[in-house]
Amino acid sequence: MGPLLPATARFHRQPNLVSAALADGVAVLDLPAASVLALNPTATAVWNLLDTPRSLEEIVEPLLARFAVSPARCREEVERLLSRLLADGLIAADDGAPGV
Amino acid sequence: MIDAPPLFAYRAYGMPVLSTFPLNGLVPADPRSCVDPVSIQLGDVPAGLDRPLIEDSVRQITNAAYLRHFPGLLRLYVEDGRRVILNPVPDCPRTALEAIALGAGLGVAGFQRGYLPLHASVVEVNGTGVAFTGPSGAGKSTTAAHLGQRGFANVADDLCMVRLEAEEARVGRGVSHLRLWDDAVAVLGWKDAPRSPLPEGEGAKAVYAVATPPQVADFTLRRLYLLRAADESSPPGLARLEAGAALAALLESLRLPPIALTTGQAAAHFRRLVALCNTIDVYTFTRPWDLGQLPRWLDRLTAHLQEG
Repeated sequence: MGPLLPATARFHRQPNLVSAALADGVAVLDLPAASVLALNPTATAVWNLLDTPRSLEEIVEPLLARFAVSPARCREEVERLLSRLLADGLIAADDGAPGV
Repeated sequence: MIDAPPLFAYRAYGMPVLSTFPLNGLVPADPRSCVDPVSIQLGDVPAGLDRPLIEDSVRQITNAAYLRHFPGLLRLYVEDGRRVILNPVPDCPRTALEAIALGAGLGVAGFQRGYLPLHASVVEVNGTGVAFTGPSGAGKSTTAAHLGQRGFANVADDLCMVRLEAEEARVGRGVSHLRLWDDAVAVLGWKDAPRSPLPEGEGAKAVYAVATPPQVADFTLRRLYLLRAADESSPPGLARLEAGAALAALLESLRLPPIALTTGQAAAHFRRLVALCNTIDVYTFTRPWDLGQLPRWLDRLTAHLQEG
């Protein structure tokens, strides 16, 4: 069973992050933590959507139009990724999502 | 009339250098060609830096200055990518003075200038540079020495300064010697070769002069190999790294990671690192731990170097 995120939460990138395009994704520098995370192409698609605050459904919908994946699988993978990004402090949720 | 002290001019790691004392192993240069040089001198250094961004028991770092204490040897001050000042204790060995000037001194100066200092050795392959990186003991210098025996001249050992210009990664020649462990020297057949000892604290390593390329101009860096020791889960071999893993390898190979990621220059250096990742090909070279088996795997590496 995947992680459950509040349906009403809206996710956005944390400020003070620097990102740059890699050949097949995006690299993100987390200055306060002095760490770098390289995102794969799928994670990059989610990252690019988070340039403005979005709910889980608002993230999943454009991904379904772009990738050949079932809605359930897409939602599960996006939830997993968002949980990871929340845990790493790279994104924040403004409404009820578990903060770290 | 006041006599000016003699200056020794070099080109090191792609940077013009003027030093008040000789630095063995560097490529001499015409002092008149040294525009905007890194100046290296002996003298007093500040007791401390104002509001350091990073501070530990031996270092203080700001965006523009670096102060480091090498206990029992010297204090090093590097400012604005242009001034390297060493304040040695009276009996500081000459080898330590030169090693610190060439390593930490020029490495920090280059970093302050926007170069990426990588913990890597570089050899010349068909007029381009190929770098070998990995943690201490991974075999960077040993690999470069074996490749030297196969006709690939040494460009830089242990420190490589990369600058990005016009979508190319460029590296300059470093010192014309390799620092090698005794067991590596035995496999190379260099037991009777002339050698210079390293300062205390660097184990059983010694310095060996090696052939360098005739080209004095800088090289385009084409590839980087991350050296790993083979084990049960990772047999010897070569593999290309995808972008994310390649970036991680480059990040690991940065000679100054604490500064790279925490000073006010962090974002600019991060973007340079990503640009380097997008510019060169990065591979792993997993080599057998037994040095006796190394030559066979170097045959494969040699063939790989000559591809493409």
